[in-house]
Amino acid sequence: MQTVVANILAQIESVVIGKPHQVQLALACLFAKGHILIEDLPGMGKTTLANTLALTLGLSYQRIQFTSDLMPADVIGVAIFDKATKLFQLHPGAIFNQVVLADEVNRASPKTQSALLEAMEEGRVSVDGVTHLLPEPFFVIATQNPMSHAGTYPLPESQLDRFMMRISLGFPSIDAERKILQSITSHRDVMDIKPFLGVEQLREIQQHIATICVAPAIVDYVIALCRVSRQSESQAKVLSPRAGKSLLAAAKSWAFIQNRDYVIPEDIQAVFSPVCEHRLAPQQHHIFEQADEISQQILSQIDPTNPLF
Amino acid sequence: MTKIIKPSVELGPKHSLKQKLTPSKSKSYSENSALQLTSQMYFCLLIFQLLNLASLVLQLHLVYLLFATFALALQFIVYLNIARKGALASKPSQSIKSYVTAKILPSWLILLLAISGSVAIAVAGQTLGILLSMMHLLCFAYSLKMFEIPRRKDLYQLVVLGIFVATSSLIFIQSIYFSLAVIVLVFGNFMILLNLFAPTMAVLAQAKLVAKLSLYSVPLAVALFVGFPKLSPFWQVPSVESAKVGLSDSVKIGDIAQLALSDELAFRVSFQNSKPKHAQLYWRAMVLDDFDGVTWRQSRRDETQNSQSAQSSYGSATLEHANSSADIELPGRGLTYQVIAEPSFQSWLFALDFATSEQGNIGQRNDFALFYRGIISQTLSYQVTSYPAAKMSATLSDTSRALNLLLSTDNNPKLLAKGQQLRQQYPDDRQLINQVLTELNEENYYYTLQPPRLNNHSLDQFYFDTRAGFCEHYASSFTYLMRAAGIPTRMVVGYLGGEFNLSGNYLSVYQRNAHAWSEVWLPNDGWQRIDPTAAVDPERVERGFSTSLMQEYDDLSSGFFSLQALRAMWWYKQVKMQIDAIDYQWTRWVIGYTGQKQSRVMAQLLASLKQGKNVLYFLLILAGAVLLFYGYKVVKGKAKGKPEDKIKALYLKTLKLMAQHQLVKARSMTAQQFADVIATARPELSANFCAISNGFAQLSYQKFTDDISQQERDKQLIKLQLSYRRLRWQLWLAKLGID
Repeated sequence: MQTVVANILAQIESVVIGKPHQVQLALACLFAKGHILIEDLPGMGKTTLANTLALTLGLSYQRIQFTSDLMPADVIGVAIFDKATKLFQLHPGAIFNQVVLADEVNRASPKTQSALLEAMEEGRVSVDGVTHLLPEPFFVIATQNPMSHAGTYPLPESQLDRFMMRISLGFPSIDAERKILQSITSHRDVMDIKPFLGVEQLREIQQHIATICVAPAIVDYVIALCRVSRQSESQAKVLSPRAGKSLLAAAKSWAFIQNRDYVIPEDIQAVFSPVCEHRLAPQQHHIFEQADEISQQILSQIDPTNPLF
Repeated sequence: MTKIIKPSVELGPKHSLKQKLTPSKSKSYSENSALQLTSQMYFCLLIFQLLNLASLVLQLHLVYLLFATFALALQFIVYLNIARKGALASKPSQSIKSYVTAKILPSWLILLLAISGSVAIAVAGQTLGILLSMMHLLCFAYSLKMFEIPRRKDLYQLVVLGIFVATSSLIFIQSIYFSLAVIVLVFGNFMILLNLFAPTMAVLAQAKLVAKLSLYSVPLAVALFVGFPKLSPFWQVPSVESAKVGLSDSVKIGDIAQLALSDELAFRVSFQNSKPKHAQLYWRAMVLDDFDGVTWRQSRRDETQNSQSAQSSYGSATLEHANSSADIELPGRGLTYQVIAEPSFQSWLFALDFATSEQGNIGQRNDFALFYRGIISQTLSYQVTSYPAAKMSATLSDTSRALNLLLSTDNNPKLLAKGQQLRQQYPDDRQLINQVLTELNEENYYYTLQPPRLNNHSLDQFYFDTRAGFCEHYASSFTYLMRAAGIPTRMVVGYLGGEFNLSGNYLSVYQRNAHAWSEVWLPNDGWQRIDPTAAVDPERVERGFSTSLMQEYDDLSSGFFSLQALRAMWWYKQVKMQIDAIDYQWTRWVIGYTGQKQSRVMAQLLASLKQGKNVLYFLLILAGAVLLFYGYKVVKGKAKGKPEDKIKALYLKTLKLMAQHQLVKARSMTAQQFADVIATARPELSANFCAISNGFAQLSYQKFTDDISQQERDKQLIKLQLSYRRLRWQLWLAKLGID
């Protein structure tokens, strides 16, 4: 199982150069059955990452480019009267895929956004009163531009909460940038990506992650972190129990990627910022600064060896 | 004008401050050995120096006291200035600031002071005596050391010196309250010492730790107290308090009446079996048989000889000696009791007639008074057996008959005439005595604390005119009268009665119980006690003070701070009695634990150890205690429950320990991260610390499989505890600079 993971990581890293941490985070998120939001400036490789991730998983995959005139029906699908059967027949939209890449999700109108996000939460869609189940597994990889960019509709907090993680890639290092510039990048490379994982294997991995040990001390740590976010007066946003649950799930998945069958506080600390920052500070204004300031503050307040005191 | 001047004035101190602070800061960073202290610490040091010296203040010479006060005041002012400037300069965020210790005096001046002070003490040594001059040297060094604490080591020396000064005050005063105060003071000094070692610790935690350590040391201290050989001191304790209230070896009329107002304790007695009646508690201190018309003294015959050799020439006080002596007949059973005498800086002892003592350091004079071979400069405890029915000196030698009939005939002619007249009337001695006592009883004689003044200490005036006096008036007139009548008589001073403490079951005799009475010699019966005061005021003898005397007593002692109302409250009496009882037990068991007693205790212990039974009991008790302790540990361990909790406790304890040694884990650091930090920062500690840290991480986070047995886990825990101890040891060594 670990070799598969290593292969996946190697492949993604060969395309998304110099960002192993973010790649691992993204993978951990998908293993933990969470949706992921990648936020960064245009041209930082968001789409490349999302694309590679989707292709590597070897699942059915569709990309939706969100624009301001995209309608909910374009995402979900539309019921059309079939003359032959004399019935309304659903013409499924892009969302009826196992992996959906929602590119530049904040360029679409709120209505379209909420259609997507509702589907993410419920795992099903209703068209003209008929409920259709979405395929299993179902992942959404969304990318978005920073809020300050023109023509964006910010995602409301309630909808941000549905993403397990929000990550941003950041600028590459000098070496990585050199490599990026020197490589003859083309879409053909992306096409070369081999799927390493089938549905069965993915399910296996997810089952294995479920068995990863979470000691009481770790649960205490998560509780303490959530509680301390609620105590501070300066913060309007707090960590809900769902956030704690996501945190634990992500940490387990992270531990799996680190080839460990138990969670340690370092796992929590590694995933804390991507899992919690967008719940604590939904509107990220200063993308170039140290973005995850609030989550670092919270982390610094809790002693992982003795969390509840 | 003012507007322009003001800022410049304000700038002045700031500038100088910057100049002062910046070099000191850079110095502190460049020199690791330079000591930095908070201003709190300075003031603690100063205050404790003051307190430590205060414990000795009664013993110290005025010149030294002036010097010490000046030194303390100088330092106080200097540090106050530093602290104030520091508070002005520091940002509000830095509430605690440390400074390099200020150099108040240049080192050559300190050296000069030290030399001149030592010379001065050496010169004064002749008058001070060896002990006091050593004391002065110690205190002087203590005062000077405070000026010179550039390094940690000096500070330790200073604090240890302070502890030494505080405890040495126990040489002079050993009462329970003072001892408690000194213990508290030493505790405070320990706190300072601990604060130097672990400055980050909370004060409460420090106090707890000091208390714990002190408790640990208690068994050792008790063992040392009981078992360590009691050497007699190399010094003579100076009789600083020789001007103490109390009986003296010469009594003038009016001396004892003055004592009657003193509440000071004279001695305490605990009876072994039964307590005699109040009227029989005539505590003999000394016999005064020489009267020059004004003052009663011990006969001059003794003074002609060297007093020391005279004392040693007297007989021993043992029962054997008394039995062998022809002078004494000892009918009846003895009354055994223990007396604890307060320091009187005299050598006589107190006992009931007729007293014997088996102690080697106690002797007996020819007049049967006990004395101590030496000066009672510290509380003295001695065992006495008395035979109240004893007959003393059935035959009287010619010299002592002459001595006890000696009169200075010139100043009391009326009494002399009366004595001769009585002799003619009553040829029988007993009838004569009874006649005089009846006269005293029936005629208008008063017993009073405030007798009218007598001209030239005239006994005639008292006996025939004023007719009001205290016990010594009656005793000396009676003695004079008897001698005039040709009956050998002498005056005895001592104490009458005492207050019985029910809660402690002992008798306290105070200075106000001082009394004087007479002894007449009757053929065949020997010396007999006659108390003329009993004839005047029987209540005085039966119960202590009579009500009228009590009233007078209260009137005399009522001042602004009158305790009269307080005295009446029963609870005050109760509390006073309880406190007295505690003080008595302290005096009896702690201060009274002398070398002799110690050797007795040791001998008993050895004897009982020789009988195997006691050894067995002892071992059984020991085994029981060990088992109990072990059981307690097991139960406590079980109660604590899961192994991960135990190891967590151990890990947190380790973190605390590390924090005390400036290895603080940042709050958000995980165990592994901190272990890595330690591994790079202090690689020598890493082996032991990582063992604990890894054990903690393993047990806290990993999946438990039940195939590891409980035993194995316990074993692991014990191993980790071992590493903890090793780590602690390593840290202390490192702190002390030993590698």
